[in-house]
Amino acid sequence: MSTGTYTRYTPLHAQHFLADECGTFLRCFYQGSTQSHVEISARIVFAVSAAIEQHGHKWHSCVLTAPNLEAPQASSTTFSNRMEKVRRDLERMKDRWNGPDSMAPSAEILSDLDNVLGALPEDTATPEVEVEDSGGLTLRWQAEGASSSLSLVFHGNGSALAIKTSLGEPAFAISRRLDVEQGNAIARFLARDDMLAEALVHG
Amino acid sequence: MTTCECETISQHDQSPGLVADDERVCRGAFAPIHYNKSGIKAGFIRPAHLLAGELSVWRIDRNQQFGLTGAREAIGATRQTDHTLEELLAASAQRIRQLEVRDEEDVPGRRAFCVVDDCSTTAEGDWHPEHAAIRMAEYDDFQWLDGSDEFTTAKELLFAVFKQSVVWKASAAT
Repeated sequence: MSTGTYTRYTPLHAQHFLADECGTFLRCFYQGSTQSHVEISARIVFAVSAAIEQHGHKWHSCVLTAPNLEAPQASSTTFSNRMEKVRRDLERMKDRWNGPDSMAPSAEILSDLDNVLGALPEDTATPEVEVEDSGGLTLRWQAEGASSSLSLVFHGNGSALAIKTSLGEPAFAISRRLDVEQGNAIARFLARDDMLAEALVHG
Repeated sequence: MTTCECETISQHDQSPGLVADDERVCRGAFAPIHYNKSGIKAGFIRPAHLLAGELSVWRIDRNQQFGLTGAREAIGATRQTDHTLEELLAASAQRIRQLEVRDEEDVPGRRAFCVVDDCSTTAEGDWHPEHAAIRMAEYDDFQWLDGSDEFTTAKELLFAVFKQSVVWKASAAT
């Protein structure tokens, strides 16, 4: 598969454009070599490529990974690899980790987390990870000095609360409850806002 | 900006005056409870305290004699023996009062917080003139509920704003 280059947060936009065109094929677009691959046909690839170029973006090698395509080199620095370690740490947590009333993240929360991580691009920065005493989980991207931040809050109910904070004057927040089983719901939320996409990449 | 009624009436009989918009208020973050591997946790803002109308903050601009040093000493005095005061984070009362939870990007939303001159530092009646509190703004037709999307969103916003301004760090002071 021939490849080109994306700008850093173009994949988010691309995923948004592709949601309409390619449905479930979309997810293979971002999955790294450590995650399950999805078959993707040449016809779909062309549709994807055309959709991207139509919006003035270029192709990228790292975002196309399917068994019959050139997979990216595994790297310990990829988002998938970094989050796998986070995921393992979360899975090892036990109830009472922070006193008698504290709870570890439930299997449902971890399942929702997996669905969301699979929908995020490989150039995503490592988020802050916070577990509440109730077991609730928050991923947070807020770079020092950045004008916006993103939080994804999980409570294991098949959805994630995506919260964008805009830290200008005045500061405000907008949130949307997203269905985690639809990767494109996350992508759409992210793709509609360049500042948010940048926060996600730069952390 | 809408002024909430609770901000126009003194909330304590020993109060030196209402909290002005241009005053900064600060909160302390203690190790280890307020930190994890990523840094300071949102848990340094206690949801129960916000909902009870008593999230503790200290006025650092009203009385120059008190200031940041006075706040650091007052907050440090409240720590438990196995905790250490690591950072003070601040924001102006105006910035906190202007925080909104919106439905749409460009449409004004719901004001989230009030900053009031509540001098009470304990439930036992202790007080300090430079102590104040952040509480949820009140509405006739809406209630902030713990765990609700609106409250969670407001809490994240307040955390993000405090995180923007660290005004004192223990590591820098030593």
